[in-house]
Amino acid sequence: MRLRIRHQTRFNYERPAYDSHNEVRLCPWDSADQRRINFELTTFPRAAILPYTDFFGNRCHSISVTDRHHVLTITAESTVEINAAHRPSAPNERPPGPEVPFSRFLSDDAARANQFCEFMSSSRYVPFSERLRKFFWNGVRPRGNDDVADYVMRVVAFVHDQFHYEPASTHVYSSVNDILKSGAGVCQDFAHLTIGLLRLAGVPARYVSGYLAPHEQTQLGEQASHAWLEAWLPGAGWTGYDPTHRCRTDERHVGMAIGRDYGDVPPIRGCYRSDGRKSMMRVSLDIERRDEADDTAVVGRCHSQQ
Amino acid sequence: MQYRQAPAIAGLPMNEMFETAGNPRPECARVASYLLTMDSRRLLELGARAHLMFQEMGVTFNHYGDAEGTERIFPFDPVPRIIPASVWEPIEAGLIQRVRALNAFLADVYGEGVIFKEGLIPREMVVGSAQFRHAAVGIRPRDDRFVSIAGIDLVRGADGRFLVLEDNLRTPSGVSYVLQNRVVMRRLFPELLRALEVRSVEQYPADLLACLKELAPNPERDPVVAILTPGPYNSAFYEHVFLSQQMGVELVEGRDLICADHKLFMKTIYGLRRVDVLYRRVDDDYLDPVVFRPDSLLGVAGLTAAIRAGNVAVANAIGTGVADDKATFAYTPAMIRFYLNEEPLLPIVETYLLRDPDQREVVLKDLDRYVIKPTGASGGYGVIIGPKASDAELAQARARIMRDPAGYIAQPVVQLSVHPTLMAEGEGAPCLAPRHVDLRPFVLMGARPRVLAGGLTRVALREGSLIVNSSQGGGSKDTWVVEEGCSVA
Repeated sequence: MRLRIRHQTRFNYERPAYDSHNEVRLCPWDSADQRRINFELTTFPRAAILPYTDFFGNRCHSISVTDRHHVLTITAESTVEINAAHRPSAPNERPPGPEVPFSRFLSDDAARANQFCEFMSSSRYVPFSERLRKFFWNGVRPRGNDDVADYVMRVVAFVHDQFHYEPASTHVYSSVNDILKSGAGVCQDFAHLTIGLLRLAGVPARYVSGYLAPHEQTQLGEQASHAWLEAWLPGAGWTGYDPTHRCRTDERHVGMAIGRDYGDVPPIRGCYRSDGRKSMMRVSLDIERRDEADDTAVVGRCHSQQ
Repeated sequence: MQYRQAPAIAGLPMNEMFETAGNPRPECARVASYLLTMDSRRLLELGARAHLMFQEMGVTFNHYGDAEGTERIFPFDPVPRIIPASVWEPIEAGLIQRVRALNAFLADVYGEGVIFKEGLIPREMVVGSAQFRHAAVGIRPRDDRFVSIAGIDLVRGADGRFLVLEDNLRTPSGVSYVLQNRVVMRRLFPELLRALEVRSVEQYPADLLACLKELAPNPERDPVVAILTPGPYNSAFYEHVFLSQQMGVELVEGRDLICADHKLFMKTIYGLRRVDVLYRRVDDDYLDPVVFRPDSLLGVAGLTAAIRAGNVAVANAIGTGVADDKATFAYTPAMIRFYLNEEPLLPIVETYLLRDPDQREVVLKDLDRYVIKPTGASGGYGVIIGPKASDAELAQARARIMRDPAGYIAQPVVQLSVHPTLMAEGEGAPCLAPRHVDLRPFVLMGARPRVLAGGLTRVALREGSLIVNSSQGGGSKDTWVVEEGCSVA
């Protein structure tokens, strides 16, 4: 399936902003399960744009605008082709790979800790707090004969069933403690909580920021970005799960950036100077299903407009 | 002048000037006889003159955690520390070897990570270190030179061998005191300095500037160098001012700089001026609010992107702290063997990693015999010296270690060597008494690596104290590397 994504972020400043610097992670990744056919990043006003690859392998851009401006828009347009063969056919289909009971899985823990340490330990938004530990021990602790892949799906389902999805119930700086306290959150919180539980069980887990394409072949305006997680499974490697929808990631999930948690992958992060305090941010996101034929293959182009 | 020294007993610290009381080592004979024949009040007077000179020159350091004023004079002892050239030269070679290996380690862990694949050091420990900077991955400094300036702390054990105690690869400070101590000593003891052929230190600022200029990304133009300081409240602000004056480069704060088009500029009264190399004395965390702490006002927004774009270089590079982490320290001999295929020339103080259950058990059994250090900190903060700690302090340390074993290392207590030091306070006439010393030599890793002759000798002024950090009540001495031929009286 081919998707065309247009993600525009618009900042309006009460008084002119200047000396503005942002780091953006808005470029869908390019891999076997998801081909990036085209990517364009444009800004208004004109900005200096520097592409680079970060520690986690994400395609990032540094954007800097020196002169005074009342408005800054950052527009990322991409065309992505999802390879359905690499995605599950059913929402909770077991990923490929042998059945491995936890007792055996944990015997390789030291080697895994060395390879995936950043995805196995406490992180900024996924602190191993008392609250999280207690929830883990009382709720979803694995048994020695549990199959690891089955267990991961069980945790995903558990988080989905135990918590309410409530838009605006949390903010971008919320940690696992907030969703545990309130019992509600958004996709980011569902992902963080699942990651925390899997890490406590000894399963490497990482955060994914991306998009979720709409079901129908219609264009929906005002959609939001989405977040889920990947768990590392023996035989299958990194496998995507979406606890917000209680499923494995399918052909609607477009991955953009991976990290330990949200702190590594905010779509836009930066700072600016201004004499006034107020600024307003508006995000508009359009995801469109496209036919195979009508896109020219330009990979990774990025330019600015005046 | 009287010298008070206990009789030589096995296991006592090495006295660097006197083999036994009244019996100076050959290389120190001249200085010793000069001091011992001097009237004690005269030496005291010279000490007082030195203090005045430091005051006039404005040589200060700032003490944190002190409500009263900030600037202080670094206590100075007029008795020079003597190191014969034959002892110094192997140290010099050992230091250069060490910094080359540490630099190779940095290029590796922020690059391919070969050392992890070889299983020589746990990846978990390095990538999980609080000093590991994810943002440094993918930034390759010119010639892979992560470390341009290093300060390596050495101590001398009871057997007289110099051992490495710790590495300082972030923003090592203290070199200004070395240079100013020499200025003062030239005025106090002109004849002695001439007679002994003491190796000079005065060329350091020129060497530093040359070393920094070598980092410039575009060699076509004469590179502009600037020093970035956190400002007057930083403990080493005096040094930042001094080095900028000595090198003839601008001293700037974050607010004097701006990044535009991924290039770094400083604001001058003539407009923006491009900066090619930034000698930053600001920690990574505060360097760029876009990438590191967003609340930092000390850095420059966009600096990391400008470095990444290859338009400016910073010294030392971002992320060097992961190589001077106190847990990484235990692996430094292995690094020298791995990257350079050489045997380490300088031994290190034995280091126990408390993250390791076996090593932890050994240490916890006799906690009062070890020095416990937090892995991420520097400046002597948070250090517990077992033999001097109270039971309550030890219990607290034990609890802290159990809570976060990876956060601490332990080292056996090294009997730091002692050096005669002028003591004026207390009852009786002023006299020389042995006080513990360490040494921080400074290494400049330019195309031709250089080590400043001697380095900063820090002395623990309190009797019996082993803590020499200026932030913890230590003083300093001038360090003289002397040619052997002229040292005998």
